[in-house]
Amino acid sequence: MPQDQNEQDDDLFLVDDESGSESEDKHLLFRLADEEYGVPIDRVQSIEELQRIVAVPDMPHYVRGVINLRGTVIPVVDLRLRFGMPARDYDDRTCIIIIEADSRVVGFIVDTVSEVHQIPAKNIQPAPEFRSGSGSEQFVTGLGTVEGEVKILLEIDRLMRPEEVPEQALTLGKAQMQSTVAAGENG
Amino acid sequence: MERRTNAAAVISLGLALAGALAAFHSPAWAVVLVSTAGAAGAVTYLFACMDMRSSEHRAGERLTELEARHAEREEAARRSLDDLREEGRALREQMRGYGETTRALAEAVALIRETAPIIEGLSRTAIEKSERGSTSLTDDVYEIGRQSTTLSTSITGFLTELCTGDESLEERIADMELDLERLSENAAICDRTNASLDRSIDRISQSVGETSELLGQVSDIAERTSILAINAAIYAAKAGEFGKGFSVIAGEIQKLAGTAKEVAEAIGTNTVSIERQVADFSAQHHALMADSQKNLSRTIGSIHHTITGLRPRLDRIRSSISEAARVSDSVTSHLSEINMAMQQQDAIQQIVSHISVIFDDATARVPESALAPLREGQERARELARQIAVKHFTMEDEYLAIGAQGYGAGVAGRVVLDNGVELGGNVTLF
Repeated sequence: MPQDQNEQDDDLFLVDDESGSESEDKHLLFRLADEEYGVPIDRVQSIEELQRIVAVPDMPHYVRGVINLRGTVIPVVDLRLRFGMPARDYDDRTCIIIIEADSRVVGFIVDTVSEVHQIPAKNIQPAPEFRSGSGSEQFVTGLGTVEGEVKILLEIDRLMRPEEVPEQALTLGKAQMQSTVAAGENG
Repeated sequence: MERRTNAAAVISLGLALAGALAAFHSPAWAVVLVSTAGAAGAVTYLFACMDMRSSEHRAGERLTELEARHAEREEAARRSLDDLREEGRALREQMRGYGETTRALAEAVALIRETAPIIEGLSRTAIEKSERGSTSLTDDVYEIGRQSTTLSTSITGFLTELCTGDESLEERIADMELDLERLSENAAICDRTNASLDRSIDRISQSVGETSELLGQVSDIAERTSILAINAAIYAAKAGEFGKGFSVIAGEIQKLAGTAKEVAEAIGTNTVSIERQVADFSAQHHALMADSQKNLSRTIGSIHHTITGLRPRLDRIRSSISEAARVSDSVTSHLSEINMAMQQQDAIQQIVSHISVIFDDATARVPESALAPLREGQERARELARQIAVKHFTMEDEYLAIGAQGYGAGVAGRVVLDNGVELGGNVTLF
């Protein structure tokens, strides 16, 4: 394998001489509509394919419901809806990014997951000041440049706040999930 | 009356005698006797006067009667005279009429004599022309007969050849029918091939569909592999230094997944392209075949139509052969009729010749004395002959027969005789 290929691979997958900062620099890139977004990889628990979502009543419209991920009930948020974009039918490329923070686990539905890419701090610029506060702008931490293309980097903590993902989504979701499972077993 | 006068005279005389006697005896008696005598004389006179008057009256009546008789006789005499004059006039008229008749007769005779050479010339011309025409006609008729026979033989031969033999129309039609059958078979084969091709194309479409489905599965696998690789990368990143090697593997797996996906997409594109090309080919082939089928069926229809049209024609040709033979016979019989007519014409020539001879003979027998009443008859006859010619003659041959010159070949227009008389002609020989 040629040397430059190795270098490219290193650039892509955390294989970095500056150990320690590598995990912070790495971002999971995913696509929403026409743009690519990025989240720091150390906050990502896993990527899951789309699965059955149990709807939970009395929730904000962007909370689509909960999923049962290997025994754990996790509320899922449609990022398109959260960012005020038009809804889109889910397909086989639709993925759920499972993110963990402060013992809270939430799934985010995105159009598709692209790759894991290292974005050094020097390639990240702060977000513009003119935030409207209603769309995706309030969650943007900065704009990273990867191979000449700009990726919108999101602030996970803000996405994970209880007002964004209410606590009852978990409890209600759990109860409903159990009743559904019971009904499924009875059936 | 006379008797009465005589009586009165006797009485008067007696009385006068008595008076004379009485005068001798007695005057008185004389006076009485004289008076009586006077009276008697007066009476006698009166009677005499009365008689006179009566005689006079009778004489007048007699005179009137005589005058009337005289007038009657005079009238009758005058009438007789008129009748005589009338008769004389009639006689003179009659005499004059006889003179006219004689003169006319003389004129006619002169005219006949004058026209005799013309008629002779015309007869001669007619006979010559007729003979010449007849000779030419005979030749022509024989030539027509000969050519007609040749033509008839040729046509019959051609038609017979057309109907029979190896290269005949009938054989050709049979060949065409055979070709038509083969063509129909080919069309059927074409149809079957088409159906087979359609089935093949359907199978190709089905295979392409299945391939697309498989490619979808491959893409799905690639997609899932990619997610798996990303997950591996996430776990590797979390493992820190220990996951470093694993992250390389994860990267390779992701790359392979990407490549697999690209290949699957390329195959998908190619498959879609193949499907489209097959569909295009199928559409073109169908259009082409539809055109070919249409042309083929049109050709078959055309050949069929031709054969259908040729069959009755062949029958007509057969009937034409017998018709040609019949026409040939008819021509032969017409030619013999023409021959008959020519012989009749020959007879007419002879008759015209005889008429001419008879006319000459008759003309020669006209005595010169018949022309005596018309000394100037020759000139008059010539004039009449010219007038007749002007009135009736219209052909150059006629003009030549009377010694006139035409204005040119073909005698349309007018002709001037030697003496300057113009002849109006309007017949042109064709």
